[in-house]
Order: sequence, then structure tokens, then C-alpha cells
Amino acid sequence: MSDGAAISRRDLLKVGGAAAVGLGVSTSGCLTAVEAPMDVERGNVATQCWIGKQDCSLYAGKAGGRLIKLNGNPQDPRTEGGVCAKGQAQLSQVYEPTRVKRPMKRTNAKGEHGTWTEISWQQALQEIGSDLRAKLADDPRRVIFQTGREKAPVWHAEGFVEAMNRFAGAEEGVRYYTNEGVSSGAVERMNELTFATEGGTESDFEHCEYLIAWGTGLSVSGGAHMCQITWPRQIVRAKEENDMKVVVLDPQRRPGGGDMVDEWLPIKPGTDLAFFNALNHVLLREGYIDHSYLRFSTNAPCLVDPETGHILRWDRAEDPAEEWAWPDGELVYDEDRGRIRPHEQAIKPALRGTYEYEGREVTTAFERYAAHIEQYTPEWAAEITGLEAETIERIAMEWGEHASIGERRQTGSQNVPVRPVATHGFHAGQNTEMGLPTTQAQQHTSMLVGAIDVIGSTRPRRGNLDGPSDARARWRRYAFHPDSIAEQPDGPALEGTAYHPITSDGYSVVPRVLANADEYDLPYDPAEMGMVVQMANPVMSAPQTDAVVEGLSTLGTVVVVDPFLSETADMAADYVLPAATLDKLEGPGPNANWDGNASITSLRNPVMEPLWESKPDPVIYIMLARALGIEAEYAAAVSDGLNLDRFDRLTAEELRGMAPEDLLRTALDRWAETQGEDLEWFTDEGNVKVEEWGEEDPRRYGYLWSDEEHSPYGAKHAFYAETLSRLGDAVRERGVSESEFPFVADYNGFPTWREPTMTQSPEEYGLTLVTYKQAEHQHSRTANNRMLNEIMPGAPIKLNPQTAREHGVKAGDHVVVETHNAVTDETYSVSGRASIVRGLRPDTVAVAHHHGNWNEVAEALDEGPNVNAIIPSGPGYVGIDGGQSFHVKATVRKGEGGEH
Amino acid sequence: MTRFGMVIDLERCTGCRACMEADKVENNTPRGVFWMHVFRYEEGQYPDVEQKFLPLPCQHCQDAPCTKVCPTQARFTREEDGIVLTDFDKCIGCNYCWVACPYGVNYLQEHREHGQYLQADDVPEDKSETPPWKNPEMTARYSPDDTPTAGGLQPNGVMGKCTFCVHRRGNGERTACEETCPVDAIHFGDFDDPDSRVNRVLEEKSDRPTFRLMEELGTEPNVIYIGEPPATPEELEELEFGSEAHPIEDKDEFKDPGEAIAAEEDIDHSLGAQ
Repeated sequence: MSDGAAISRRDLLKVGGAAAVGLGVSTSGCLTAVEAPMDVERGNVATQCWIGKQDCSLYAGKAGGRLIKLNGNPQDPRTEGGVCAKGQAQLSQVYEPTRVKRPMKRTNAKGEHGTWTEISWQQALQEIGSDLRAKLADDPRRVIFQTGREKAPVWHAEGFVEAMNRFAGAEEGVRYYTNEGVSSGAVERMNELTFATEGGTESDFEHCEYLIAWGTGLSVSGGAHMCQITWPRQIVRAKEENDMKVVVLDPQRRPGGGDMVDEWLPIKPGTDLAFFNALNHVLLREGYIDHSYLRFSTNAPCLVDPETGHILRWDRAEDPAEEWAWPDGELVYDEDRGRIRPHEQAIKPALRGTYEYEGREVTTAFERYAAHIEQYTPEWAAEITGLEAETIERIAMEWGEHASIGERRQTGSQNVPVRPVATHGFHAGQNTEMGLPTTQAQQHTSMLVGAIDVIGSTRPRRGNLDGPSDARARWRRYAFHPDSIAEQPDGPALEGTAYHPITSDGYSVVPRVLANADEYDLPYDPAEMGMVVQMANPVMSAPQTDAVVEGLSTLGTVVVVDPFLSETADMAADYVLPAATLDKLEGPGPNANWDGNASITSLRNPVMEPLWESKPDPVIYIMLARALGIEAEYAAAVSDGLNLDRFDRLTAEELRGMAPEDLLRTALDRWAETQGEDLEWFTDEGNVKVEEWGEEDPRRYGYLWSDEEHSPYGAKHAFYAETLSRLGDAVRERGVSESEFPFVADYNGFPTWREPTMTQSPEEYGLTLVTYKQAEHQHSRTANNRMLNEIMPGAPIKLNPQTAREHGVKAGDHVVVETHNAVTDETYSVSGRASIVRGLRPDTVAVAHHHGNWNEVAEALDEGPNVNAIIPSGPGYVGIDGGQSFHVKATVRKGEGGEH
Repeated sequence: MTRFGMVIDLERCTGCRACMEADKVENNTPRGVFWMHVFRYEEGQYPDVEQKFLPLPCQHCQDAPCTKVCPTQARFTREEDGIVLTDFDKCIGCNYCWVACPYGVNYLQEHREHGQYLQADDVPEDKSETPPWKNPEMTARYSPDDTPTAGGLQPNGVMGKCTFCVHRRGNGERTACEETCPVDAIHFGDFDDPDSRVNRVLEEKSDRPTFRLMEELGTEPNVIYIGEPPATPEELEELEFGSEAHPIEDKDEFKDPGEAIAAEEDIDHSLGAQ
């Protein structure tokens, strides 16, 4: 026999002659006859997942014009035909009867559960259009665009925002906020600052032999940019083919690791900085140092003024802010010439040492680091982290040995270092209040051994980046030109001000500032402002729920574009516009379409016509652009986003004259041409374009980004965070103090340990609450999915057996989790069902997010609390970038109570 | 001859339950019925805790106890390929197979009228040519004797279990769980064919341990697991919490299907009343 049959191209077929059969009444007599329509039209539509973040290519099986099953597309190298539970279950979100069916307008006050009246699209667009247009015309800062998971951002997050700004004549007047502040913003900001890249941190699993998996994401999350499938596939292969060792650093032995985990290090929450610093202490002590990388590609050899902490530069140096990639003229001691010279001219920059410069002693940044790291011994870290000193010592030695410092391999015509050790980073770095410095400590573990973007190593960027990114230019401008730090904020994330000169968009900062607009000197009363919320649900996904509701409710006009009545819509929206789910044409996808070895392009083709009166998101924004009267600006912005050449660009006339659905198809057809195809190829034929990265493709290794000998990466890596050090001085000078904002203590050149603010809570709060992602859910987006609810119906309150015993709790007991805000002395509580797991530190309590939503389905079926309700936001629980910590001190007691 | 079976690689499994959901969708099983169930459990004590997963379909035993106890011969082994099936025309839902099976893979399927997720009525009238996701192939009759073995729309009051996706067998397709598995941990094929996928995987993994569940009972399961078997009670005897592996989710963490279905009905009725 032959087993296994690949699904081929779209093949609509008619099953003719098959008998329509019914189930007869059985011997049990309990069956009723059902006509089964076997002769309906069958077919497959090549499409793309909607529910996740990776947009896996799918085949949608149809019968009688209706979706019946989703299968993976074997042509997609990210999945090779696999689909996760969420991907399968999104059928439920196509047919879910609680979908928003028509535009809705609020009839009661915001801040309480909404009451609604259905209105026509025409009325909705007319009212929203005139409202937002007036605000834009006055000052674009009166409009905020909030995104969550980006799908086809060219039509909204990028195109629509850009069009509004063009209309207003402002480069970035409209406040555009992402959800990075609760996702992986801290890691992304630190990668920008250190490496001149963008995105979280990935790993070259094809060659990796040793992985330190930091916190969330070994398999249930899928890494910094991908979904659940790709990383597990690659990790399994790396274990089988490279014998890769997997070390998990996490307070929870969370589901998803399984046999892939070789060693679990159950670290105390919030102490990762101490662990990595101790690891680095051992690496330095034992000489696991890649001198070549550190000397030539980083600022480690640069000489630092002992008084100011500034890197010394010769007087002909260009502006270090402008020269963000390779700031020239930074002085080093050239061991070859025996004198101080600019870095780029030095034959052999000294990594260590103290030298005389203009009559005073100056040291290299790396010498300062050696002195700094001396205090962070494994024994010291053992006290902080709860891990054995011997374990830290051993892991460091294993890491150093596996790094194979000095080894190189020919890749095409390039000779590239081989450092098969990696550590990834995204949400784990965001979890802690000290997200940026903790990420820097983690970066140092790779940097010390030269395991940065070479064969087998850590890749501190989104995978498809093919050269240095100027994302750090803005942060450097604030650091080197403190006068550019704004006195008054332009928006409620306080970006560019002394509060958060570096920002991750303040997902949880925004509501707090809106609620205290005068205190933060916002340029407008929130009642005069408007917000468009695209595929985001901050009320549910940002701590602290009541504060988020209070803040967003102050806004004058809130438009939520969503297939469902999200909690944000329920509490804060004036209008809800019904987006379709899988029943729509949408694309091109977000920039997460790669697997580390290839780029993948596909479209979300409609599995059916949009149900009810919902519409594809791009169509909604085309209509909004018309309603605002910004057709020309939107046509230009979308054309730019789609890279349409001058003969194919969309015109204002087309925007005005064509039916929105036709315009969408026309635009995507022109875009398809830029991909060497036409739209039909994507909708009817292959839909999956795979571009393999060659051996020398710059997307493969950042080491290939430049031919410059002193800078193969095309940018200088900031081993020493001079930017943070300078920014610390600047914000203190502006009066932002540690006493009020604890994160100010974290503006240092090297990662410096301090006790997290939460540890100031009273001793009775002896546990630390940690959260986690369940494999079966996708944040708040799946809370109303009945099928996923069946296989994972809630979020139990997880306790270690010892902790449960000490608190008199047994599995199944109803328990209350109470948390404490160490800054305000407020307490919060939720309740739920206790579950006992052994793979959890005894001094923690773990609750999954995704649950406790209050839509009809979740309220009826879900059995978990909304853990964000008990995580404080505000000072003490946010980092330098306004990123949110998800750690808080807690206690548990048996009984009823709490908000849930 | 053909002897269909599965090889499940536990060293690859991440316990993600994609196979569970693929089965639910493919076979349209009622709430609370899991023809494939992934058990997640722990062995050891903190901090030396191992985490294990065990996908559990029907084992399609060569000497299946369930076929011997069925009073109506509804449960039978298909001679042509060894798949153990239920003839839903004959099944009286007596639960004997449930009692006889040592693997706990049989479900008395109730709640047909309600609770198979959404009903056709939930779809707008102008778009309700067929129910939301009822696969027509499920209602066809298959060999032998054109019996309804795939479950159809999952009739009420009968015993259901994994069929190795019998409705897919005619065209050589993979099972739904194999097809969906994100890490290729599930392999389906013919153990009597030396070139089949299951035999190739066993060959490739010949240096890894393998086991069949409760082999000592003589049921001769047609499901082979790659990886270390769950620890025996004797091996776990020393542990403080008794001689059983510790489930990461206990059975009470899954809802009572009846309660869930009633809740879903309430939602849908309230929407209908609007």
C-alpha cells in the first residue's frame, strides 16, 4: 500500500454519483435519520492561518461552499503540513455566533459593560470619518492607533497611519502604538541598542549544539517571531541531528518541553540578571573569550572616561548619534602600534588595560566590565537565584566548551565563525521589571564567546533582516543630545520624554497616563482624543485591568475593529466595526514569514465570503480612508507599502471609484506582480512562495552584512551600553528620580543587580506570581473558542505540592490568590481552582493568561481567572522602556473571594 | 495482508494536543469525547521532575478484548486491514467494550442533538447550504458490507472510538492526527508492508527504546511508542505522592460535557432571542 498523500493544488471537484445516505434507525432505536449531502461540491482553498502570529499556510477543506477542515500546506517549510490545535480550532471562530455581525454604536457610558445599537456601515463610516478627520485636521496627536497582532499591516498599522500623517502633514503625528510593552519590547529595545538590529532573539538551530532556553517559548510559544510549530520542529531536529543539549531557565517546568529538555534550572522569578552575570563571571575567569569578536566588532576595547562613563572620541569624530551604525573615532589602545588610535584604524585594539590619555588614566570598557563582573560570583548568584553555585559554574563551563571559540567554517566564499551555542529571548526578558539590563546580561553570555549571528549561534534579530537597522538611531539621539528629550509628551506612552526616552509603546503605561493627563502634561484632554484599536485587546491583555478600563474610558472616541466584542470594545469603544476572520482576503502577511533558512510569502484567501456583514480588515480601512477623505494619501501609502512601481500605483480616483473589495483585489494583483506572479497564482495555485536563503545570503548570518574588516556586521555592537549610561544622567537631570520610578536605577553601562521592587512587599506575600502561555491558546484571542475550551478549559492556580501543603490546599480546592503592590500598598485578588504540579518552584504560584474573559462564551465555559487583574502596572512594575513586568509578590489561601 | 497501525514518537511529542483537536474536527465528535487524548504527566519530585506526554488513540489490538464482549457484534476487527471498528447500526451503547478495554479509549457518545459545537441553525439562512463543519464523507458507508463505521454525524447512544480515520482509507490518506502533528511524532501505516512509513520510522529509530502499552495483557496493540515507557508503579513506589505518575492536568480540569453543552445552548439560545 502507499501511505501518505500530499495535498495538491486547489482542486475543486464534484463528487458525482455518490449515494446520499442517511443513518437508519439502529437496533438501539436511538438514531434519527439524517440526510447526508454526499453530492455537494468539494474543494480546497489555499489560505493562511488567522489565529496565530506566524500565519502558517493552510488548505481549507470545503464542502457545499462551507469550510469543514483546515489542513497544513506541505509546501510551507515552517510547518511542512502540520497544524497546531489553535489552527485546527479556528473553524470555531469562523462560525462563532457571537461574532459581531454588523457595525455597532454604543448607547451607554464608557467604563461599564456596553449596550449597543446596530447601525449601517454607511452611518458608522460617516460618523467615524467626520470625527477623526476633524481631530486630524486640528492636530494628528489627537489620534492614537493601537495594534496588537499585526496582520497585513500595510493596510492599517502602516498604510492607514501613514495616510493620516500625510493628510495632517506630520511625519509621525498620529500616535502609533504596538503591544510590545507586554510582549517582548525590552528584548527588542536592547537588541536595537546593542546590535543595531530589530526584533527578538532567535537561534540558528540548524547548527546549534547547546541551547539555553530562557523562560517562555521552548515549544508552546514558538520563539520570538514564530508560532508554535516551527521552533519545536527545529529543536527536535537539532536534538536528533546535532545532539543539541537543551537547558531550560524558568521557574516552571512548563508543558511543552517534555523530552526535549535535558536540564531544568528552576530559577527564582526575576533573578535572571544575577544568573547571567554569574555565568559571565565564570566565562571571563576561565578565559572563554572570543578576543577577535570583542576587539573588532564591539565597543569593548573602547576607552572610557572614568568620571563621565563616556567613550573617548577623537576630535574629528562624527556625531555618534548620526553615526549610529559605526560611530567613528572611538579611541582604543592599539597594541600593535603601542598607542591610542581610533578604533577603525587600530591593528590590534587592546581589550584589557589602563592607559594614559591626556594626563589621566583611562581604561577600556572591557576592563571596566571585568571589574564590574568580579562581584557576581556563582556563590553570590546562588543566594539570589535559588540555583546551586556548582550548577551555574558547570553550565558556564559547558557553554564555554561548546562555543568552540576560534573555529571557523567556509560558507560559500565566506569564512564564518562557528559558535554552536545559543540563547533565545523575547517574553522572558519582558517578564521582569529589569528587562533591558537583564537582556543585556543575557546578550553578554553570547557576546563573550563570539556567539552572535554566526554559524550555530544566537541571532539577536528578526530572522529576515538583511542588514543593520537604524532603530537605535532615535535612542542614541536622546543619549548624545539630551536636549532632544521632550519636555511635554506628544502622547500617553510618554515616548521621547524623560520618563521613557526609550519606549516599547507603553501598552500598560498609556491607560495610566490617560487617567492622569494633567499630571503628565498631555497636550490634549483625553476627551478630545480618539483611538482606533486594530486586533488588540488591551483591557484583557494589559495589567492592571481596572486601571486599563479607567484610562481608555477617558478617550473621546474609540473605534474597535474586531471580529468579536472584545473586552476593550465592551468597556471603552464607541463603535465596533466587524472584521472577518478566515472568511476574507488579506495580505501580504506580516514580516514574520521566515523560518531561519527561507522566506515564505502567501496570502489569506477567503475560505468563504465574509459572514454576516463583516468585512476584510483591508476593506474596512479602504472605507475608512474614504470616509476621512484621505484617498490620495492612503493610495500613496498603501502603494509604498506594497512596493508598487510608478505605473502600478493606486490612485485617489481608484480609491474613490472602485468597490473596496475590487480595489483590494486590484492592489493585491499588482503586488503579486512584484512577486513574479499574479493574484490568481496566490488564490488558485500555489499560494506559498518559498525563497531559500543561500549560503551567503545576509539573512542567514549578520556576520555577512559587511565586507569591512573591522565590522563584518556593518555595525559596532555595544558591549558597553554607553547609550543607557548617558540616558540615565539625562533623565535624572530632568528630575525623574529612582525614588519615584525605580527603573531609573537600571540606566547603567553594564547590567547591575538590584532587588526588584516587588521584593519590598511584606513578608506575608511570600510567593511570586508567574504567568504562562498554554499551548492550546493564543492570548485573549482564543478565549471564546469553544473547541479550544474543550481541550483546555481554564487556568487553574498551580502550586508546588510543598506549597500546597503549607497552605492547607489540595488539588481541586477553591483558592484565592492575593497580590500586593509594593509601591502603592494596594492588594488585588482573584480566585480559582487549585492544581498541584511538581514542576514548579515552591516559592511561586503560576496562573496561565488567556482566561477570565467576559464575552458570552468565556463567561459560560471558561474556568480560569483573568490573571492580569492582579498584576500591578505603574512604577515598580514597569521597566526603562515602559515595558510591563509580569512578576508580583503573592499569597494563597483556601476559600472563596477575589474578583473571579 | 494489511495490518494498519501507528508508531508514536514520544521523544518528539511536545504535548501540544494538535492531534486531539484534529481528531475532534475531522470526526466531529461530541463534547467530552476524545478519540485521541494526549495525557500530560510528571514523574519525580521537585526539582528532579520529568515531564512526559502520551498520545492515546485506540490501540487497534490484534486480539482486541472489546470485540469479544460485544453482545451485538457491532465491535469488530476489519479483516482486510486490522482496523477495529464499530458498526453503528448494530451498537446498542451497552458499554461492554468500555469495560473490557484496558486502555480507556471508548466513549459512550451522547448529546447528539446538542453540543457538537455549532449547529446548522447558527449559520445565516442565506449561507446554510450545509452544516458548519460536517464532513459528508463521515456519513458514507464503508466496507465490509457498507456499514456506517466512520461515525457519520456521530450518532447518539453508541460507543465511539478512534477509527484510524476509516473514511480516509480508500485513497491512502494519512490519519488526521498524523497529518496535523507539528513535529511529525505520529506515523500511520501498514506494519505488514516492509516499506511502509511505520516500518521505516522504526528502522530509523532502531537505537531508541520502544514499547506497547500493557503488552503483558496479550492484546497485541497495533500502536508502538518510541521512547521510555511510563515508570512502573514499582519504580515510583518511593515517591511521596504514591505509586502513580502525577497528571499535569487531572480529570477534573476537563468540564463535564453535559454542563458545557447546556452552557453553550444557553449562549446560542440567548443570541437567537435577540
